[in-house]
Amino acid sequence: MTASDVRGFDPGDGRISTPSATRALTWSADAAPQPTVLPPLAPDRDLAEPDWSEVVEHFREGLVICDADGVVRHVSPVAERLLPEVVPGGRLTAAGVAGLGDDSPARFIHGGRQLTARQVSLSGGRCCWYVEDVTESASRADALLAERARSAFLAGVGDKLGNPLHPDRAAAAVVRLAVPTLAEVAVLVLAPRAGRVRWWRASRSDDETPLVDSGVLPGADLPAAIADGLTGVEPHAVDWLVEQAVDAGWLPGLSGAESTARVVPLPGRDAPAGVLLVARRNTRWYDEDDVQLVRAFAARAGAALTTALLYRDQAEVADTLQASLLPVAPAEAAGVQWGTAYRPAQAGLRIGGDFHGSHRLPDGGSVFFLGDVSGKGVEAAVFTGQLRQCLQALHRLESNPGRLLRLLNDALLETTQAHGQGRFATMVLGVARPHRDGGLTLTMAGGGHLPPLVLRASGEVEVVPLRGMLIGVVPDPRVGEVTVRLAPGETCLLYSDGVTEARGGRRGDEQFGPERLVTAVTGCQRMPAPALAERVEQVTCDWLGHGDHDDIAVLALRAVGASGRTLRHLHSVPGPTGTEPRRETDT
Amino acid sequence: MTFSVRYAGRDGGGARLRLAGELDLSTAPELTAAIDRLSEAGESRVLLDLTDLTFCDSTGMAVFVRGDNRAAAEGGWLRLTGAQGRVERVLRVTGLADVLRYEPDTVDPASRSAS
Repeated sequence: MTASDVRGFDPGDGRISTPSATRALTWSADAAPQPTVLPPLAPDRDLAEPDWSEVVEHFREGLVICDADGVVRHVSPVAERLLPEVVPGGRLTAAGVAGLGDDSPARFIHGGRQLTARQVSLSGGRCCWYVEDVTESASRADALLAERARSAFLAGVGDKLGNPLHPDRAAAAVVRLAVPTLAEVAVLVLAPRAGRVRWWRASRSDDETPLVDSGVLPGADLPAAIADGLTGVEPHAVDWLVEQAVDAGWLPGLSGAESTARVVPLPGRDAPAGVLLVARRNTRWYDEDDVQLVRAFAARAGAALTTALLYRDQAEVADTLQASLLPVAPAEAAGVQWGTAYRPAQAGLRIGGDFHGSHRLPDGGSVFFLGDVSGKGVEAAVFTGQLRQCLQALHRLESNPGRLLRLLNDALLETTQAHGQGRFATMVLGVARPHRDGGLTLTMAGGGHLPPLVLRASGEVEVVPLRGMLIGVVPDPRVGEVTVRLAPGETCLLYSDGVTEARGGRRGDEQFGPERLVTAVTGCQRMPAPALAERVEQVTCDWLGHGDHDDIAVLALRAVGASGRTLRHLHSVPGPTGTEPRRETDT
Repeated sequence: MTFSVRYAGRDGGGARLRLAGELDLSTAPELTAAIDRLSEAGESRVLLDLTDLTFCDSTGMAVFVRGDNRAAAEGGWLRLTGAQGRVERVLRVTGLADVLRYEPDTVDPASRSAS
């Protein structure tokens, strides 16, 4: 029922209505709407005088007419029924009806009925009381108000529960909202998870906000009524329910003898998501309307909780999968200092289509790789994961980079062709072997990826002439192979096209390009590998400004010798004026 | 610069599509749709003219590879021609230039690469 319905609400019984003569007149008019013309008043009415007493008897209001002395002269049949004490011939005041005095309230209870009375003065000092029974309409209005309050409460609950993505927060919100409208103490017990049961409780406090606390119970210690509720059974309001709740220590400030409680399951996906226990002093029993309200509340709470639980489950799955797709730090290897940088295009996902990594070989060397798969986001990350797992298995069978890359190509070809989305990878795959003098021999195979750079001790930056074809497209790809010798302190740098194709600069759409990258790392030959990787990431991001970018991955290998001397903590960055950086060997 | 695909008639035993502008994540679906339309019309030999293409990223290359896979399944091919500047460099670095090279003298260019 809406507010306008309420305003238009006519408490009458419909006996007083438009005279049928008028209705007939209106109906006899043409179907086309016309302004209703009232018939002119007849100057000479020769109609019979109506029988007023008969008319009056059909009023909803009862009439009591008193003379100037306050003696009752007439009582209509309706008034007789409502006020049996009032009899003609007696004084009205003698009847002792509370509502019929000079300064009585307009509305009063008499004989179990709710009445209204108004006094109208008549000629000759007489007066007339119009008395009406409003019990029905008043209770209807009360019921309506109560219903509106319940609707408003439930609407508020819907708003406040909203769409919480955290089950704990949703549970706390549920009990907080149940107090004080539904209960003085509300306890929410969630469905058991791994044999343990979590509960939240809100109890009414002196100020407006309820106190909320929570706890954990072993599933076996649940009160029987709650355990039943979790299976979907709604127990009836019986004394032992309160006793169980008191025994469980859930009802502070309420004793078993003077409390009333109900248990309602919260609907979930298959089984209930939980059970809500509401309790209050037994001065307010839970009647049928109250129980309906608790059930409606539980339905909303159940929906919110189920959403939050579902989200939690999915987020856990996503986190687990994501963790398996993240690049892992390269394996520690003798004589090699690793430096990495990784910045996925979709930062929120933390995963992307670029990848890098390394595996230790039994002979003391390391397999290392950096690459890029076509596409972006989750799909690209999943393909990256497949590729890395393939490599993890295959490097145990084959340690020659060129042959390993071909094996990987064959393994991926099946997946990429079955998928039909033109999926492929470009990568550099290498094997690093340490030498006694502290240098490294790098044998690298090219899979259609950007050529690595080598930072020589002399300060020169070389582009490694590595060629080859992308991986996962054709059955027998051309794979180039190059061997590079790094002297101690020299570094090899692998990077993805997110670096060289970064768009930014002054105009915002200019590519960073390989030449700028060479310039950016020139003079950095003394930098430790982590600092160099970080520098490449930094200059790329500076170039980008705030623009969108592709995945960015950088892998740097520095020959540091097998003596165990680590240069990890030493950073030497070229000064802004181009002065010679300080030597890391000095400290 | 915006991206465009234009049908440029039949040439060298296949349909020629002339690409212009930048081929990346946002424009790749347009090319995919154009290739699919040709394929649905029974044309399994497609030559992409990249003369006016100024940019191509891995998404664009994925469309080339997908198109070639799809055409090959029907006994046809997809080949590239006319790549310039940055696009030529990207295709060379990835080796895709070799995989999808168009050889006008060869009767069936597909017989060259997938050996």
